[in-house]
Amino acid sequence: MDALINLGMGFQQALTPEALLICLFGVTLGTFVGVLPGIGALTTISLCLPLTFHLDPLLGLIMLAGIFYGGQYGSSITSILLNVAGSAPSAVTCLDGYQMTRQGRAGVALFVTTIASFIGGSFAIVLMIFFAPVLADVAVSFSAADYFSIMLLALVTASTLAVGSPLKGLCMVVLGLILGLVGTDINSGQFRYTFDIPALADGISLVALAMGLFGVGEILTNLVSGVLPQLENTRVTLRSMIPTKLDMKQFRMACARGTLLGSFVGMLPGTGPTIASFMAYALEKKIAKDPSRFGHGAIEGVTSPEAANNASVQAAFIPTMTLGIPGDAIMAVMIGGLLIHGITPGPQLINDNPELFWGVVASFWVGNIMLLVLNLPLIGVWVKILSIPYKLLFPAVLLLISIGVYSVNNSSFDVLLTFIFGLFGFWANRHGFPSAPMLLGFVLGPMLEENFRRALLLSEGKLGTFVDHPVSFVFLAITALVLVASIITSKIFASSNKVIASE
Amino acid sequence: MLRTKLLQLLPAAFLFLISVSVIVVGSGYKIGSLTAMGPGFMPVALGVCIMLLSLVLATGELRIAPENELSFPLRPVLWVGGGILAWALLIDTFGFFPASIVQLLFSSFALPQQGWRTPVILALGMTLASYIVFVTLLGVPVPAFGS
Repeated sequence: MDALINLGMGFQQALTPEALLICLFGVTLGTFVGVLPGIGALTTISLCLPLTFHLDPLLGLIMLAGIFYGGQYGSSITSILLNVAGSAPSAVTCLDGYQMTRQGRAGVALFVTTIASFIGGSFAIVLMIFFAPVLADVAVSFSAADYFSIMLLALVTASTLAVGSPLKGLCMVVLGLILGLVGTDINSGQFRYTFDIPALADGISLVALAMGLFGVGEILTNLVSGVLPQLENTRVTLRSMIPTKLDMKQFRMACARGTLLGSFVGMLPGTGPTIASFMAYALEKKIAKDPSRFGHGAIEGVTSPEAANNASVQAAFIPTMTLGIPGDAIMAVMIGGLLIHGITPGPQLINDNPELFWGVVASFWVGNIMLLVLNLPLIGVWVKILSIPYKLLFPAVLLLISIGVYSVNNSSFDVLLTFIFGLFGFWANRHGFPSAPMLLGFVLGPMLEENFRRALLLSEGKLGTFVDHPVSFVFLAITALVLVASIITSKIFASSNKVIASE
Repeated sequence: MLRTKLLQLLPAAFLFLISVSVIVVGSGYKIGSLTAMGPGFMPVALGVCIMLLSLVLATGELRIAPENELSFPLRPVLWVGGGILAWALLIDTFGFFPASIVQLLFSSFALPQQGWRTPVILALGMTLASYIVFVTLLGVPVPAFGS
């Protein structure tokens, strides 16, 4: 019952006019950038981070979170209509979604993805309401060693489960950890890797790094690929959205499976919506009576990944808010936003800032309902937006990146950093090194060092402390398992898929 | 053949170079012991990590056949990168309008050109619009012209 009382308090926070307005702004902006190919939720959240400095922390978080899950709704529109993934997780939605468009069933595809997203998201929110306080209670007793091992798992999972070579993912995580060292060491006051540049004394700007790796990187990748997406003449009417009886029958169970899978994956440290939606698609294909339907407009192929995708996005807030350990790059930026406000996410957050925690949870529901309206009756607006030519869009986005990075510290040096990280990120991506683990490593780096240091201080230098604590031991064991499994699967993948890998 | 092999090893070599510089600079800080870690402990430890990873990466690359050489797409990289660089260098001395107009023009050239008109209109319109939003409304402290 406590949960319901708390939730009631949360709704009081989330239903104020300012909160409603900021939530609407967040989810609309999220859908907008989700729809536009080449600018993702992560870029937008980083861009809006400076805006939240002027806001109450709750309002800021409502806005950033709204951009995050709004972006997931929006990018599925682009996947279905254009066969272009607005963001990485919706890449699988292209497979069957675009086929449905070609069969003249775009309306139905959009309808089922919206409903599936809503159901997946709602379920994960309920999970968060009941599960997050429990997890926070348990987490209070976690030792520094436990935290270290959980973070290690997050870093290893995020780098090895990403698409591509686990080894390259690990390289990027360690590079991120190293970048996290730059600045003043909190224990000794020693400047590390600052090279006498005053702007680096506080460390590298998170926004500059995120914008360089993702904002500039995404745009360069699009420009280089040379295929600039163009919308064909598609009209989506409300009438065309009505699914048939058979559609609904296939939809139901697929939606339930995707929701459960996504919620579970989302709660694990180090996994994000991309992994959730890819796993959901693989699962559907595996259990289908007739797997050959997939890739030819199977409704389960869009339903389950979209439900999983949104469920995982909402569920990812559970470890982020209760342990302070972000599951993926976007969550990492979100934590950065809270830290700037002087709020440290962790087990105490629910007790110390109940209005913040429950207000955000309640706003998720408000936002998801708004998205239902934005995506069904107003779908025509988004289809129109898809016809903005890319040649006008990307210079504008690049300017926004410069201004956005500058405005965090009013520092042109940060823009210079964005330039450097942009080129580096692009170069790294072309050689198969993923950017997301680097950003995660960067945010977790200082926390990892702090907990490592504290754990060994308490154990008087005995490394055995990491296996003596049961929680830590379990997480280390899982970490080892993930490492071994990813090495084996990547070997199999490399030998059987030479052709695909060399593309 | 040798050339592609060397190019293939470039990322690993780059990482190795980073690891060496991280370790060299990091060992200048106090390392301490496991019980009482100094500020140099983590840097050196991570430097060693990345060094080992780069070596594993290099041996892996040596064993597999070289892939087709990746051409480096100079045009977009130069214009997009140049645009951001220009903004960063111009903003402090020349102010918002010159920096933004230059960046927008630069980035427009990243695509094979369709003439001057669109980029110029975009540059002027977008600069004015973002000045109103960011400087006038949101109060980002940056002068329109000059420092």
